[in-house]
Amino acid sequence: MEHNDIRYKLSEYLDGSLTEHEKQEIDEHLKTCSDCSKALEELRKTIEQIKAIEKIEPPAWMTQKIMANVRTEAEKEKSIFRKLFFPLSTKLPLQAVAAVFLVVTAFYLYQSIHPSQRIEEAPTASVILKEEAKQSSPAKDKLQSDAQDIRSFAAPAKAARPAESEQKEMIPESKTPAPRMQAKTMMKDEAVSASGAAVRSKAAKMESPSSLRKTNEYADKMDVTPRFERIITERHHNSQPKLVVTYEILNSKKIKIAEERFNAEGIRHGIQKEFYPSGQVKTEAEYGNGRLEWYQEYEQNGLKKTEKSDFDWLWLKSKR
Amino acid sequence: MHSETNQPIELSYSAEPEKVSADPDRALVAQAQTGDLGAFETLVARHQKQMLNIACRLIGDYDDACEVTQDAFVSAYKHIKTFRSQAKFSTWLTSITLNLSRNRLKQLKSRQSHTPVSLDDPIKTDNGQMVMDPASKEPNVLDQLVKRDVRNQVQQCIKKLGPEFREVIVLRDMQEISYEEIGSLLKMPQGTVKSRLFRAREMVKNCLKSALGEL
Repeated sequence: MEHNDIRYKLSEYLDGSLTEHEKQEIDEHLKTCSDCSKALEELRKTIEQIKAIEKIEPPAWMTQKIMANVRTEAEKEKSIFRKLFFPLSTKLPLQAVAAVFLVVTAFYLYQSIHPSQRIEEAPTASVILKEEAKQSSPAKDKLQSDAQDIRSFAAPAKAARPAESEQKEMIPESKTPAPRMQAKTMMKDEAVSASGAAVRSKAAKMESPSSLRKTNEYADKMDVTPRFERIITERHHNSQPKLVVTYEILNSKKIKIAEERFNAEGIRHGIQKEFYPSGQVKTEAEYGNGRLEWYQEYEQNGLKKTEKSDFDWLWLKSKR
Repeated sequence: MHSETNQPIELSYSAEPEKVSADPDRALVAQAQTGDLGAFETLVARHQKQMLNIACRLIGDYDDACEVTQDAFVSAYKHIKTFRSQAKFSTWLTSITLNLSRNRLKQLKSRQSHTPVSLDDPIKTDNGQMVMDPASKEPNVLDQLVKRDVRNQVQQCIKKLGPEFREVIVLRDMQEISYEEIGSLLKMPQGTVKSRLFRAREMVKNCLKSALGEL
């Protein structure tokens, strides 16, 4: 090594980081080079002075202050974590309240969509009749006569009667002591629709075909068993039904299946219609005071049937 | 200013892995990583003096060094989960302290450059009168005494070094950190560390010789 190289290596020489060979080389050089020896000595003293500088003691409060800052930092992290995940003490009551809310909501939803609930809310015609019968005996007599009339139009009357045109205009006020009948009144199939005095409800319900009379039994089976509802949509001035429309109710859907018309005496009279569920006319027939005058039956696609009818008509079934 | 002093603060230790098989802090670090504040407090107590000394020798101000030391430990806690034991914990902590100290030095230098002080400006007093403060013609006795205080002079000489030379002097001669570790901390090869240390020592030596006459 040259002199300048050795001067450069003196720092490492003092640190003891040279190889043995380099160290020996420098040792040999130092024996003959006074400048390098002097430089080495000055460097050694400089390093000694630097290392002799006293260490600074940290203030007594330093550890506590650092840890206070660290704890603040830790709390920040925890608060962020808490925002995402509530502790169990908060979470359990919240979950309980949410569960109760869900159950109550589900119950009310079930109540609102269950068809039997709505149907049972309306009083049946039989109930109305019973109540009215208790109130006055004249009314009872009248109801009984009405029942007789309704039974009669359940089947085509055999006796021909003088034709009476249908009154489609507004019904004039009744001359009977009973108040005016409401336009839409429900009635029981084999029982009776209420008279003008008897029924004030706009929509009372009645069962139609005899095979489906057991109203209470159907209440629990509404979703799968069709119900029938016969509604008087028009009345003669003497409160006799003029136009009766029958609906089938299945899964809360109401489908018109028949239109029946009667004269003022309750005898089948005028156009009668029966419909497929699609709304297509199934049977169309005209009666003249209870006597069938003509009829036409149709396929579901609307084409006319040509073969002879088996008279499997809705308005004839109730008497079979 | 040397380019290294303009480097942004780096809290991650990205130097090449050093041999950390015998890191005495390993168990405590593992506990601290799980949120054990007691373990971290032990680490603070163990290393705060060294970090304070490094910061103080680099910055040259005790109060600033205390603040930097506190900030270094808080930063270490915040990022301790990212510490992967590729280096010793003390090395990682030293790198954080170094970066924060550099940043503080930059702030101080910027502050000093924006607050110019003229020695000729009159000094305002409470009664509103302006009192001139003429310079003394006599040599400052206190300064003469300080010059004779070798240790203070050594500190002054170190303070006069450029930051890159001061760092190697502080790390090697005052903290006795190995060349290898210094190379990792300063992100430079060991040869550069050795040559820079040699030059730094020579500068201090010359500074002391000029101040004290002889060593």
